[in-house]
Amino acid sequence: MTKAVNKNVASLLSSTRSAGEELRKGIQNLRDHIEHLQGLKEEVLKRPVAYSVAEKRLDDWVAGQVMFARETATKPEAFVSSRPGWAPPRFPFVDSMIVALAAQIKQSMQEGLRELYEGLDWVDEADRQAEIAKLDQEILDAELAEESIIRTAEAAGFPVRRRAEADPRAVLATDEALP
Amino acid sequence: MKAVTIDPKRLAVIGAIRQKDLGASSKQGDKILSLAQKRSALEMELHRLRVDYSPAWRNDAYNQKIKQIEAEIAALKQQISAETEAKEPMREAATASGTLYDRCAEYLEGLK
Repeated sequence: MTKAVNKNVASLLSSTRSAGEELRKGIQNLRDHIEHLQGLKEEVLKRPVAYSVAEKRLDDWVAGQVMFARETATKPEAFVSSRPGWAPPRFPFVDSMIVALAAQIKQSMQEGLRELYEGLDWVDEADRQAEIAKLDQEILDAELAEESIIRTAEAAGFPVRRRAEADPRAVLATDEALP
Repeated sequence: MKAVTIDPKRLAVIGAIRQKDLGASSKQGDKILSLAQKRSALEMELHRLRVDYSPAWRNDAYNQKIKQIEAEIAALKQQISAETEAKEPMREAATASGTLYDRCAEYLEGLK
């Protein structure tokens, strides 16, 4: 398809001034398409992780909090000493609460997470990678097509500005690698 | 992902475009500078005429000269403004082609 566009662009450039407008439109369409694909990629990257991943993160976080709290939580032994001048434990009460209520806290957060995921458009990591790879290929194909048209236009004496953010693989590709 | 065959010589093509864009932007800068210098010289001349000639010495020829210089300064101001406006897209183009060149050079460096 791009070859056909290139051929058309080359002949139009040599014959009519409106070819410049055609060319600009063609390149702009490709650039809009690239931007659209990049937007789709951003969306895929932003989609939440699978529920199982979030649940495991929650479990690990609670387990970590409990492990730290256990180290400093006040133990019953702290209250039985017969030593004169006994002083109350200095460790924060909150650690004892974490140890005592860990199961309830975890359950409550799990329920919240489940509710949250009912309305979330999450994606499995393997699917995310596959989608990104597919979009990356589509973006590269579009960039190669853009570069191909730019070179055809340049060869016809009609220089077109490249985008600063153009993919170097497209800009540096051999002519044969272009569509 | 399909592999793309790279031609390192393409970097020189992008480098030439960058040089051309930089040259155009710099040339435009020189043009603006030259106009600004002309304007400064005229402003100094105007100042000198106003200081050197007391009102008693000012005649029609003097007034004509002052008007002429003022008109030239106003025209230069307008021209400088237009040329400065024209420079902006040139500067943007030079920055964009410089960025693209640097990214391409970095990409090639990464392939080594």
